[in-house]
Amino acid sequence: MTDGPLVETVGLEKQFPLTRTASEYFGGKAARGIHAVDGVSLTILPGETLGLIGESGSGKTTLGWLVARLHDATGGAYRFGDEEILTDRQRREVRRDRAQAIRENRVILRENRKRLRHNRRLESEQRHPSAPAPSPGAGSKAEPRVPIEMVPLKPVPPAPPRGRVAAQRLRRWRRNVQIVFQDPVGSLDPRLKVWQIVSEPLRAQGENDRKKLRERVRALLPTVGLPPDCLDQYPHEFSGGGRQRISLARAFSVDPKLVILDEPTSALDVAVQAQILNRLVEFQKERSVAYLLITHNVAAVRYVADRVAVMYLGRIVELGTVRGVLERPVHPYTKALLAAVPVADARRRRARFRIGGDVPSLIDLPPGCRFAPRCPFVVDRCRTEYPALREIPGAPGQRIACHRAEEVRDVAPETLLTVDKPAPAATPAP
Amino acid sequence: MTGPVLSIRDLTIDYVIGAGRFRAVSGVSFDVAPGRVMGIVGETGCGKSTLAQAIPRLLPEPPATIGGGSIEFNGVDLVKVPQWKMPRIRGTGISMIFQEPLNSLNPAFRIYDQLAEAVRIRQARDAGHTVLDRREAPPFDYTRRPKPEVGDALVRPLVPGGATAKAARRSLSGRRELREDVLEYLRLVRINDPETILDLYPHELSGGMRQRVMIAMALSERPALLIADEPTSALDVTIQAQVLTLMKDLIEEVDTSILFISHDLGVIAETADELGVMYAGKLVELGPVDEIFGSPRHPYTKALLRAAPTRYKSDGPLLSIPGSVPNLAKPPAGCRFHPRCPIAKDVCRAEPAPPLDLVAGTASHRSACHFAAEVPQLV
Repeated sequence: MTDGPLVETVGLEKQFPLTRTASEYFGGKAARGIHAVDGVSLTILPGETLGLIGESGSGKTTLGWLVARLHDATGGAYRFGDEEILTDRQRREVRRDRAQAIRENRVILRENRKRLRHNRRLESEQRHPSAPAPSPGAGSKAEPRVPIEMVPLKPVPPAPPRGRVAAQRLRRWRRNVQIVFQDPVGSLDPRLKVWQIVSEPLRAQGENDRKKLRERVRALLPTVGLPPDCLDQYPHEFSGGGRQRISLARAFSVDPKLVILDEPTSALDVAVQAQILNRLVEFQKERSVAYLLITHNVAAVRYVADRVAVMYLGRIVELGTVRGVLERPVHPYTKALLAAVPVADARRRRARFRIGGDVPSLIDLPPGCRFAPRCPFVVDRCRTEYPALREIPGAPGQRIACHRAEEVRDVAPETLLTVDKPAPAATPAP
Repeated sequence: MTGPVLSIRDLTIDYVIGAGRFRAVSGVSFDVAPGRVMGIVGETGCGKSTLAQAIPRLLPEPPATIGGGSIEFNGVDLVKVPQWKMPRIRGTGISMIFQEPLNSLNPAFRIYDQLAEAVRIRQARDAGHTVLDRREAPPFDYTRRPKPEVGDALVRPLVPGGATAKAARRSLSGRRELREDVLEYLRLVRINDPETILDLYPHELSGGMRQRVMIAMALSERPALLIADEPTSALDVTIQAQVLTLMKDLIEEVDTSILFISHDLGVIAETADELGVMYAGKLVELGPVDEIFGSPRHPYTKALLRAAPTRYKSDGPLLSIPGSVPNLAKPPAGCRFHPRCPIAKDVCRAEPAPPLDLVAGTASHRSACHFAAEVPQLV
C-alpha cells in the first residue's frame, strides 16, 4: 500500500429515508430524510487514532458504520487505502455513464456496420473493375468513392458488482476493518463459546480448521488480558470488562488495518476502563493498527487519540490534534461540550453550567450553522450560511467551522456556560 | 428538624441464591442530614444499588434478606415496617429516580397520566385522608379475625377508586386543577412547553426530557429523601450537566435530602456534600466530599481517583487497579481490598479491616484502613 492516508472521505453523506404518510404522499410533499451524516471530510493515517466526539444524535456512530461499510454512504466519496469505495450516488453515476456509453456504442456500431458494407463494396469494385456498376438504387449516388474510416467504440466503465459477487468482495474486504461495539452483552452471542466468538471473523475469511482456529485464539487471548484456558467458557461467565476483552480479541483476530471503537468503555467502571484503554494503546504500538474512536467520553479520547474531530448534527465543527482541541477549543460547541464534562475534583466545582436545549431534529435541519439555535455568539450570518472548516491564526493544526472563530477563540469555556440563556423551544425526538 | 433524615446502622443484606449466600452489603452505617446530598461511589458489584433499593424496601425479598441493622427514616425503622405498609412511605417520604428513565416510565400511558397519579395521591394526603390502595391491604389472617382498631375508619380506599376521588376526577374544576398542578411540576423541572409534553408518550421524549419527567414525578410528593440511583449515566454530557444543575437548584427549592449513587467520580464531585466510598459491600471511606477528593485516606479511593484518565498517550500508561472486585460469595480473608492494595501488610491479610474510624486531625473524615495515615504518601 502507498504511504497515503488509510481512510479518506470527502463530503461523505448518509441519508435515511423517511416514509411519508398517506396525506403527505397524496398532498404532493417531497420525501424527506434524516441527514445523519451530512458532508464529512476526514482522513485517518495508518497507525493513528482519530477520536470522534459529540452528543448522541450527532451522527458519529453512523459515520463509524459508513467507514466500516455496515451502511452504504448515499453521497460523497470514500477511499480506503488504494481502493475507491463507491457511494450510492457514485454507483448511480457509474451505472448512468455506463448505460450512456452502451447506448452511444450501439449507434456507433450500427453506423460502423454501414461503413463496413460500403468499404467492402468499394473493395470488390476495385478488385473486379469489369463487374457491372452498382444499380442506380437509392442512397448509392451520394456515397463517396473512397473508403470511410471506422469510428472506435467508447470505453464502457465496468459495472459495479452486485449480488453475490459484491457480498463476496465485501466479505474479503472486511479483514481490513473490524468494529468493537459499546454493549459487551449485546454484541456477544450468548450461545457461542469464547473460542467460537473470537474466531468468527477468521471463519468468515475462510479459515475452517478447528484445531488451528483454537490455537490462534489461545495465542490471542493473553494479549487482551484473558487467561488462555477460558476457550470453552460462555460470555455470561465474564464480567463487563472481561466481555469487552473478548470483543477486542475478536476484532484483532484478523489483524485489521483499522478498528472502529464505538463507545468501547462506556459500559465499564473507571478502573476497568483504564485497563481496557491501556490495552488498546499497547495494541496500537505492537501492531500499528489505526483506530477510529467514537465516544462521548472526553477522557478516553484524551488518552487514546492523536487527533480529534468534534461532530454536531452530522457535520464536523472542529478538527485538530488532541492537545489542541482539548486544551484550546475554539468552536463554541466544543467549548460547551468540554466544560460540561464533570471533573473528579471537588475543589474545581462550578456553580452553574448549561448549554440550553437539546440537539435539534435531524429532519428539518436549521439552515446555516447547525449550532446557531443554541450558540451564545450567534450573528445573522450564522443563520444563513454554513461555515466551512478553516484554519485560523493562533490555533495551528486545528480547523474550525465557525464564522466568528477569531473572535471566540480566547473565550474561556467556563464563562460560556454561566450564560443563563433561555433554551429554545425543545423539539421532541422524532 | 435537627436529626438526620436517614440514619442507617450496621445494615447487612444477603442474597440467598441456590446454595450460595452473597453478602451484598455488610455493616454499612451512615447518616443523611436534612438538605444535604450524600454521595455513594464504587465499582459495579460493590452493593451500591442494593443499598439504594433496600432503603425504600424495593428489594425483592427473597432472594434478598435484610440480615440485620436498621434503616431509620425520620425516626421510623423501615426494617421493621411490614411490606404492605411501605407504599405509604414510598413516594410520600422517600422517592427514587432510576438509571434508565425509559424503563421506569410506563410506555402505555401519556406523561400527564403518570404524573397526575402521583399528584393525586399527594392531594388526597394533604386533604387529610390516609391514602391506602386496595392492593396494599394487610393480608387476611384466617386464623384470627382482627378487631377493628380505632382510626381504621380513616383508612379507606381512596386512590385509586373510592367514591370521593372519582367524583373529584369527574368534576371539571377538579380536573383543571389537577392539570395545573401537573404543569407546575413540569415547569419546576424547567421543561419548555410543558403543555405539549403532557400529551406525549415516553418514547416521544429525548433522554434528558424523560429523566426530567422522572424527577418531576419523584418531587411531586415533596419527599424528605430522594434516592437517585445513577440518574445521569444514560445521558450525554451536556444533558447530564443540565440535569445535575437542575437537581442542585431543586435541592434548595423543594428542601429535600438526596442520596446520590454513581460510579462516576466527576458527577459525585459536582453534586455531593458528603461522600461514602463502597468496596465489596462495605463502606471504606466516609466524609466531606472536599476532604475525600483532596486527600483520600483509603488506598481504594486513591486508586479510584487515579484511574480516571486525565492524561495523554505520550504521558505513559493509565494507572488502573490490578485485579477485579472480589466474589462476594467468598470474600478474601482479612481486609477485602488487600489483594489489590499496594500497601497491604500482614495485618491486612490476617485481620478484618478496622471499622470506620476518624482520621486524625479531621472532624468527620472516616476511613476503614489500618494505614489511613500512610495513604497520602502513596504515589
